[in-house]
Amino acid sequence: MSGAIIGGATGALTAGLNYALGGVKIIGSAQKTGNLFHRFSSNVQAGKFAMQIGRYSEIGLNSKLKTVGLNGAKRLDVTAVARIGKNKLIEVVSKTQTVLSQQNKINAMIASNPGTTGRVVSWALQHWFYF
Amino acid sequence: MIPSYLKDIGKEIHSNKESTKLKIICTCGCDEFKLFRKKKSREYIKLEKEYEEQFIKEFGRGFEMQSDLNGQVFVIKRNIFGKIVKKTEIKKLDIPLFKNFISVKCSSCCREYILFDENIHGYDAVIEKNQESTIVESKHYSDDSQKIEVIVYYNDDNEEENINDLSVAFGRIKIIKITNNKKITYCDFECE
Repeated sequence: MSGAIIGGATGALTAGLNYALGGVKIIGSAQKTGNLFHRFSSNVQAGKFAMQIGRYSEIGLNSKLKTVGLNGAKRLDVTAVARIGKNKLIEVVSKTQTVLSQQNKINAMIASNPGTTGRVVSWALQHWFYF
Repeated sequence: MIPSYLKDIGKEIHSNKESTKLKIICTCGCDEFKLFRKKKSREYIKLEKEYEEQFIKEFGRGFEMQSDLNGQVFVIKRNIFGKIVKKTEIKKLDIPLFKNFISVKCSSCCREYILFDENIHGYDAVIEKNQESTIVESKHYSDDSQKIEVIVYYNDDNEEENINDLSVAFGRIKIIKITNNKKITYCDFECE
């Protein structure tokens, strides 16, 4: 009984500290495809979100939208759940995907998650120009 | 995990938590196949090219979309300072999405098998609960025969979904053809 109370109190304190210090939870790992750029690009983008202290509470890598608390079971390369501002959904271009298929995918996801921003990333350095 | 639709012809040669590699062997015992891959029609290529060229011209190849609080979707363009300079409402797309389809025909007994139908196989198709298979009017198989290997990649958290057949909910499929002992990737599709 006392263990549960102490555990609960410690958990709440840790979560509170994490929130106060702007901690961010990373879920999953970047998708492995036949293209090295894809993985690198997903990791760079996730890292960039993680560096914005306090702005995002969770960052999902190749995780389902519902795993990070959004609507839908589809997977995205990077999903950032915002404490402040809009949630961000990132899809990195694969060789077999076209602009049309990417647009279709992002369209459906952000329509079911109102107030969200989605981005298709087509080249590595593009991350640094993304606000 | 072997995709259920490949169980009769897929002999497992390697498997781990993330992926399964199969060698395709016909029920007659032959392991040489002719390949077929559905191609986009000329009209479709033209339509898609025109749409994409126009879109890329306006918003670039890497683009940004936003939904408002009502779920209405816009494509946006920002300037170098991050300010939105263009915002266009997205309506339903006029062009249907092309779905990939790969099948093989046994060189010996001519039985045909589907290796991948994007309409019904793969994670996205499974969670969208697509039921309809791709209709292919005429199949022109390759003249040469080759041995085939298939690698399917899975995510470990698919169990949480209410999926009837988890084996079909792979995230990626790679089809390899082996000619003169050389392995060549025939196709590699991301399905999520």
